[in-house]
Amino acid sequence: MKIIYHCFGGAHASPTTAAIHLKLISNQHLPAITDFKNISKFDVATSQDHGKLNYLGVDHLGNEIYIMGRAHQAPLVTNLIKEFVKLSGGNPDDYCFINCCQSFNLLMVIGGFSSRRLGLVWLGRPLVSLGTLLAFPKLVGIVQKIWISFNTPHLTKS
Amino acid sequence: MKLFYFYPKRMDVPLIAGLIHLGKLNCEKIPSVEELLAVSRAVAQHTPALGVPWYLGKKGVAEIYAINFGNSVELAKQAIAGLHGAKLLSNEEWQLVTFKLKLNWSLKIGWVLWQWGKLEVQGKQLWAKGMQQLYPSLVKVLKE
Repeated sequence: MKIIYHCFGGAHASPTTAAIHLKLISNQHLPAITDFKNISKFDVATSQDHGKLNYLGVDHLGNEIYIMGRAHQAPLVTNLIKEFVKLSGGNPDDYCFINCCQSFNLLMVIGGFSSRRLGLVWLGRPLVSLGTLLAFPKLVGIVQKIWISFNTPHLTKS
Repeated sequence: MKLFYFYPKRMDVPLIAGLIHLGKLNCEKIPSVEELLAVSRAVAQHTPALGVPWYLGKKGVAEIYAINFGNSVELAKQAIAGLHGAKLLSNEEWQLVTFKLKLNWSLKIGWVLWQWGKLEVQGKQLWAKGMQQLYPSLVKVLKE
């Protein structure tokens, strides 16, 4: 199975959720704000990367974990990927798309826009990191739901 | 080879282009309003969601599709490039084809009225007339 965490830009919510899924960051307690800079692909993607699957690793069950930014066009991009995979002879049911946008807060939006769109990394990154910290319990909740749906209660509730 | 015809925010232009490519519409003669209305019935019966290709047929080695990316053509192109980059697509050639054509007002207004639903009959008639006007340019672009 390929699990694809997606959000607007693929730069904050989805890399953090994928890192929780891959156990690169603990779900047991809130991380320090400086921990986010160690997350692979955190605050990296730009609009040029939208729509592209970004492979992050394999979880302990052999699922491939990807992240993706898709602007406001989640149905377009998910349909496109599933349909093109089908045309290639692949199985679209192997692709599980998980929307991370429900975790967004104002700090993430303002910080993400400043850093990724305006290029004001010095301003945007601290704001978006703080926003991601506040959203962290929601992101853990997203991963927990995935684990429950996969019938593998590996993550303990934080 | 898989060939995907698209035009921003529309399915009618790529559909007509695909039918011309397949020889289902004559490229030497402008189709009648009735012929175009028959095509419009196919659109009404089967309009796939954004990003879902509509298989039209096969000619030679080429499988012909029409597809609508809405107004997010660049995003769709990046998604396809990403699939290629991740080696999730087959090795055969995947070609996206669009047209630098300026649509006439009959086609634009007819399409809007048709999609709106309340003036569907008038909209389709206007659309068909607009498509007749566009047809020679579309054939020319396809031949190029």
